[in-house]
Amino acid sequence: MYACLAIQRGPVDALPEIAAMFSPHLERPSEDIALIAVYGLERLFGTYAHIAETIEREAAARGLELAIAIASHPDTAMLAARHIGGVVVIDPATELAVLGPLPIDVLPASLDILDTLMRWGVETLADFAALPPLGVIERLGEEGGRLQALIEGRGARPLRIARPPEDYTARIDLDEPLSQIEPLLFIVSGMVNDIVKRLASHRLAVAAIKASLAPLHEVRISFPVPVDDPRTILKQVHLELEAHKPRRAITAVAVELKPTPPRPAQHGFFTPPAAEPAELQTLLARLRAIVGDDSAGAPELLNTHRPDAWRLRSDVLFEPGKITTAPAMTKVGFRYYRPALAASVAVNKEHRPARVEARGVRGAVTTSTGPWRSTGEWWTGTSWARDEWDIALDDGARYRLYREHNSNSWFVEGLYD
Amino acid sequence: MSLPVRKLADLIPRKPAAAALCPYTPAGLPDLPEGAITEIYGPRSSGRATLLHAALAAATNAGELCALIDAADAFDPCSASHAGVHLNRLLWVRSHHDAHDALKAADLVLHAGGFKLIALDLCGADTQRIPISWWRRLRLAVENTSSILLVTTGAPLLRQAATIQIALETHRALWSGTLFEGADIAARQRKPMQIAPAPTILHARTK
Repeated sequence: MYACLAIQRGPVDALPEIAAMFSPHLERPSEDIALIAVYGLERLFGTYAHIAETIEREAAARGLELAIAIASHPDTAMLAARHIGGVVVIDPATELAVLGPLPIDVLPASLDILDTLMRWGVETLADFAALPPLGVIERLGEEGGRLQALIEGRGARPLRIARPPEDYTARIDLDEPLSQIEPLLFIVSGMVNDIVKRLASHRLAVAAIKASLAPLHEVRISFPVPVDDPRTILKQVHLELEAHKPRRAITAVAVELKPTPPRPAQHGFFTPPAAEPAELQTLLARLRAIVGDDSAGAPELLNTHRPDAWRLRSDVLFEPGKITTAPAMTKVGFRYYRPALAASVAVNKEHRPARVEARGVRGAVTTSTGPWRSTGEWWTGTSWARDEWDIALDDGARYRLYREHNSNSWFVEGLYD
Repeated sequence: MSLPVRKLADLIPRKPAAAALCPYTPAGLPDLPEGAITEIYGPRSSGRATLLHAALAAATNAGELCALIDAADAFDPCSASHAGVHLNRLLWVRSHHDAHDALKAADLVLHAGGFKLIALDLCGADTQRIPISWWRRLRLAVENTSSILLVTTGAPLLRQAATIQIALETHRALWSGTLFEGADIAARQRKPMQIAPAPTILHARTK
């Protein structure tokens, strides 16, 4: 048997508390309704009528006025609580007698079905229940059969248990301040292991970790793919702490893990196997420890005409590869000098470059094409305006030169290689 | 009852007779062997970046994950994308003109696994002080894996560590009126040795 508690008057927040006093099996279809399982409570409170009275008394003590209905099907109980009011106990096999007089529009059905029933001249739930079940299923489908069963209290369904939002955090105040990384990691590892176990029991993985190291330090790491191995998380925290060591001794540690559904293990059948995400993430962290934070990742071209415009991303590396067709023609490669080499350029009578001298680049120009004028983004701080030349020097090497309009200076931008 | 007699040679796992070859180079050049180092060297504008981009394009189009360790911070993503490289399958590591950091990064990437083609671009970097032991270390790291280590340099560096060496020479450029249209690449296989090797001429275009 199931009880439905519907709020008539009073604060909504008190409802779960009252429901939890009687049963841990609680469903919340909406904010003002709670469905609980009351089977087995007879030994404590007596009959179902006594149970309903006790619930009403407890609610009244908290300033809450409830409509309470008890029935063998949770949806039947909800229908009675919503549309009859007061305290109703519907014994099995008497559902139709209690609900029958209610108008047909109280049924939790789609507008199409209600419209059809009204056009048929069905006015009450008793009229609907009197229709032949097979004919109803033929005309209204499975939904029609479910609605008829609901009125008659037939069938059963389990409650969709409402779980309170889980808190995946842990905090420890240290007796003695810690200034070394290893003992700190020992503490963090215990906390992370516990939280990951709780996440695994709910079939969840980790999307990000935030470790607050009081008084000042904080570690935030986002994982590009869901991680369920605590060792991977701890390795990332270790590398992050090695790269950015706390400046002051740590007095308290708080760890918060962001949950996410775990990733599917299998990708395409005919695509090459992707790199193991946990190892790839660790590799990226190790590489960044060597070459710097913004120096490792997958390049992405920016949507601009500005020369050498790109940024580095790392999340795309974790996606599985696709087999595509490579272009048939070999294209000339280019190498940048970063930063561009300041150059001294002599021009001829036709104002074309005749001789170039820069650090590591020196010679007479044998061939040149240009100038190609390019300007842009004058409305932002990254504006550029320049004349570009493609040149070949007497040693056979080919370069791209440019003259900046603002400073009238020459630069060697790079090398065709 | 007699026990089966097995030869000792059958019990020792043998290395495969020849490494698998991947066709990641333009036609006319040797394929790149797995589990070995291939070295491409040549002067400026001889086509080192062109061949590097072509290899990365072929590997990323095969769905493989590749890595480029860029010692001189010279890689141009725009021209690489134009050559067909899938940039989202490429890990670009910029070592900011530090050849030793580049070697350390290459060692890490090789040991991490999961990358088919690992390109170590040392063109324009200071390679004078690289100890020869580094090349032996990298060769041991790549051996018995299915990865390919491709090293591009200005001058031959790897000596015995490289399985294949390709020397490039500056060849003619194609200028059409007021446009730089492309360049030809003259490539010569230096290792394994060939008797009187003739250069292979490849055509590369800007468009």
